[in-house]
Amino acid sequence: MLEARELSKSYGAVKALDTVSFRAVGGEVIAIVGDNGAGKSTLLKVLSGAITHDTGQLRVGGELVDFRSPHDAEQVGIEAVYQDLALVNTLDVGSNIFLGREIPRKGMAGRIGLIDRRAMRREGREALRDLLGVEFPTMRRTVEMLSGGQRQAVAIVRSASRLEQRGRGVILLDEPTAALGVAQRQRVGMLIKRLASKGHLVVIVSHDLPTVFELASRIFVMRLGRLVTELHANDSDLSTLVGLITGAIEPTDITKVVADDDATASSDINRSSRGTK
Amino acid sequence: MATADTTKVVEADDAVSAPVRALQIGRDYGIGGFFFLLLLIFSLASPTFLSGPNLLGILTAASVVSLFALAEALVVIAGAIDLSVVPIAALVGVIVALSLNAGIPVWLAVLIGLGVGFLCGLLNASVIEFMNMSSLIATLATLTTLTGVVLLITNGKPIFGVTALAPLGQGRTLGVQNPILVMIATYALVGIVMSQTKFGNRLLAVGGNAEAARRAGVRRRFYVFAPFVACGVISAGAGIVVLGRLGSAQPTFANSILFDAITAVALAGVLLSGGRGSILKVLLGSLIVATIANGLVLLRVSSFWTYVTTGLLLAVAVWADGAVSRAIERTSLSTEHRKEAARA
Amino acid sequence: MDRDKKRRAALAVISGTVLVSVLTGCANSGGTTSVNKGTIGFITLNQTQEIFISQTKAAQQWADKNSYKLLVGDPNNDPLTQANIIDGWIDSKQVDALLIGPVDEKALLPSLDKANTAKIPTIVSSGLDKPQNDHQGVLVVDWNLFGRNAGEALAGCINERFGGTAKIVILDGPELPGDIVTGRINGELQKIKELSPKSTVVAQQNGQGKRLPSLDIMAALLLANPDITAVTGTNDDSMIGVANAFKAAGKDPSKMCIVGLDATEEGLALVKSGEFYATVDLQPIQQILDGLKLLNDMKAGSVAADARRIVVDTKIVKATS
Ligand SMILES: Nc1ncnc2c1ncn2[C@@H]1O[C@H](COP(=O)(O)OP(=O)(O)OP(=O)(O)O)[C@@H](O)[C@H]1O
Ligand SMILES: [Mg+2]
Repeated sequence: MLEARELSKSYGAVKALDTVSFRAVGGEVIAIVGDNGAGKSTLLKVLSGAITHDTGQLRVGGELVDFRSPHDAEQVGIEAVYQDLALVNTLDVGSNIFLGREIPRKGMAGRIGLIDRRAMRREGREALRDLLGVEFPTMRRTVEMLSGGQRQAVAIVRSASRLEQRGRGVILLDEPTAALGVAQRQRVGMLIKRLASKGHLVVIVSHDLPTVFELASRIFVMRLGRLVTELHANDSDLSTLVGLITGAIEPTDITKVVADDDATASSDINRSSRGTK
Repeated sequence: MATADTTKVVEADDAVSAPVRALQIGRDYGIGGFFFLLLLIFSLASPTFLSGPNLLGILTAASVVSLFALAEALVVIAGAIDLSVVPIAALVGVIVALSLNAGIPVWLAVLIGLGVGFLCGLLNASVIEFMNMSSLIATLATLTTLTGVVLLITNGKPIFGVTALAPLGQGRTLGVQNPILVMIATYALVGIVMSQTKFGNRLLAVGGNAEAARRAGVRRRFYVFAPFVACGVISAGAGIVVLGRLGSAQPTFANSILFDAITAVALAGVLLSGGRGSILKVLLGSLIVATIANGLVLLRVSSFWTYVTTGLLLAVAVWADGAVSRAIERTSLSTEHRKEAARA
Repeated sequence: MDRDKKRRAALAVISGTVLVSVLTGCANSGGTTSVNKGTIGFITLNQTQEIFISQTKAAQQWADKNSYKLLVGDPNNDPLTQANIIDGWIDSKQVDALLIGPVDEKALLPSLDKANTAKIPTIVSSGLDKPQNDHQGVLVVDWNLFGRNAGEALAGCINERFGGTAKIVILDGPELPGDIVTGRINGELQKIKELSPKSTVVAQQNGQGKRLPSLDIMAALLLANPDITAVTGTNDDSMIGVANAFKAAGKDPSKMCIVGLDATEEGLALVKSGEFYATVDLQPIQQILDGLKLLNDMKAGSVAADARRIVVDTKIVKATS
């Protein structure tokens, strides 16, 4: 349902994305890993319409799309949690969660644009509790006064609750658990699994490789803007992945691994990874 | 009003420590407290000050400044600034005066005037958005250009003998001067829009963090244009009120008016970085500016002291607002850390 | 994206240039004639106040008729800017003659010396009492006399309508250097004291020479002192605010004593309708035309020193006169 073909994006001389292609379908959890500056966030931002790519094609549900803004991406069901969270510091928690799709008041008042702040606070509080198990004593606090983890929770809940209102969609998560405590991390993992089980496509970017293995079925490795390879989580292991990310293992060694789902091949890689070290 | 919900902490709130709450109350109600202090001082110093007619007089004097301040506040909340509010009002005053003198009916002339304000706002926003200019430079250009245009139209001469708007500018309803009612109605409308509507919520969001708002699916461009257009229309309203009060349209206004309006906005704690702003406080800020001017006249203090007082007040208010905000941040962060330490 | 930005910037620059050239083109097309007797640099306090705009217009007409080119400067009430503009004109040899209404004559002395060294005939309108050198002519405007006229009119009105006793308000400002505002105010105070000794000045406030601030100030003063009956100050404009304040307080301005200064079109209309008791006329247009004629003579050949000193006539305009 989400397909990228030869996506490229340059910042001056820096090729942040270099002919990246992949396909993914609803119900999957895929992960994108890579070192700092590999282009992971750039890829996610292209997919969410936050930035536009230079060349290449993007298809959603088979249809060619041309996102001019995140608004466009949202229309076809793509939600994103950004690495920098993209919250409005000066607004309160409820307003942030419902920004862009505020809850209207009932009846005539709602039709002329009046919004129900109380409902936004209440539903925001419930979503935070139900989705992540986070209790917010007050929803009136502005986001600037929240801790890093609380901010992250708000950003995740905002996107996840939007997605839950759709039949099928895509959620892009850039380092969703970086600032979270242990319990909240687990809740995010559960949330991701649940979203996938409902048929949504989940794309996560993370440096937390054990979690990546636990959640994702496929793992894309990026290096210097290129998507160098793709692994199946259940027939690879941590050290292979680390090797691929750092460049200790060359992807050419593994392309055949992905081609034939062979357990022996993956142990080959383990050997070769040891060999190069 | 706009952030009544976002900054006020009314409910018992165990997450916010007592000192933070005290500081927040200081920040949120400080301006109201200051206003009452000012009323107290002047009423002790001058017997006339607290009389009904004088209070109405302050409100009448505040009506024009407060409209300019409101127009400016909308733009500042959106994270920009508009230096052209006064010449927009001058242009509108002149055009409405000429229309009325040409025999155009009052309602149509007023509509034309508001339309001119709308177009001026549209022009400002277009230059900023499509030519990638900062609002400061763009509206500075508009300020100069419009001043020139008005002088070209009028040859520098006021257009006088315009009586058709006297009921608006000089009449009273139930004993209250009509400009005061215009002020209250406009503030009520804008206050509700900013605090209760989708539009207000999104405008605050774009002012606070345009990119974040865009990523949340808000059509950013609309919210770049809207505040300037609203600012143009409200400035036009101010120009029409002035025309009504004076029965004549001046090509240039006193220099102090833009300064007074920006002072009122700053007193209200509407930060120039955008995203924050209470419409009620902007009204209070305007009333403070008008009250100081009035009180010092009544005390027959040299008018130079008005400048000194307003200037100092502005500096102190902005400083205090910043200091209190920083203190809140520090205190709430340190409680956060303490809690975290306790948890570990 | 980046290229887009550059294109927009280029567009902005181009459209700006077009706009400027169109505007300057319009400005220049006014003064072209076949024979050209030279360029007159014309500079007054600003180009935003009615009185100066009408002076500039009259000067332009005179120049067109007499085959001069007119170069107009706008210092926006700033003495330093004015000096800079004049120095620039002299240094770049753009002007063959100068007519100057100084913002602050003291700040202008170096520029006037410079004009003398360059042998450029110069008329200084107001501020100087007599020509300082052979290339200089002066229009002597006595701002104090101007104010004394206003004070005299006000005292006359107080005697006529209030038996010689009144509570008076003076609205001064804007804060200009030099004598232009202070001269008026001092003259007024002097005559009031002299001709209406029983009256008191209850307040002197800054009306900024504009009607809106003057209206607000006067409205407040009338509440504190409902028995204020006489007002004068800087100019007609501020007195228009005063007349409005009287009306708003339910008082008929034509029964009060309001004296304006400058004799603007609107001021004269209000004198006629009775709202102003009087306004004082400095004959701004005639003054400029006299100055230009003198400048023309000085360019043609030397003019005797006493002929290079023109005293500007001021006169009180009342409804009856
Ligand atoms: N707005 C920008 N302007 C210029 N260069 C940029 C911009 N955004 C990203 N880049 C560059 O593009 C490359 C990819 O950046 P990106 O943020 O996608 O990396 P990342 O894989 O998300 O890294 P990290 O793990 O540190 O988040 C980097 O070299 C970065 O410097
Ligand atoms: Mg990143």
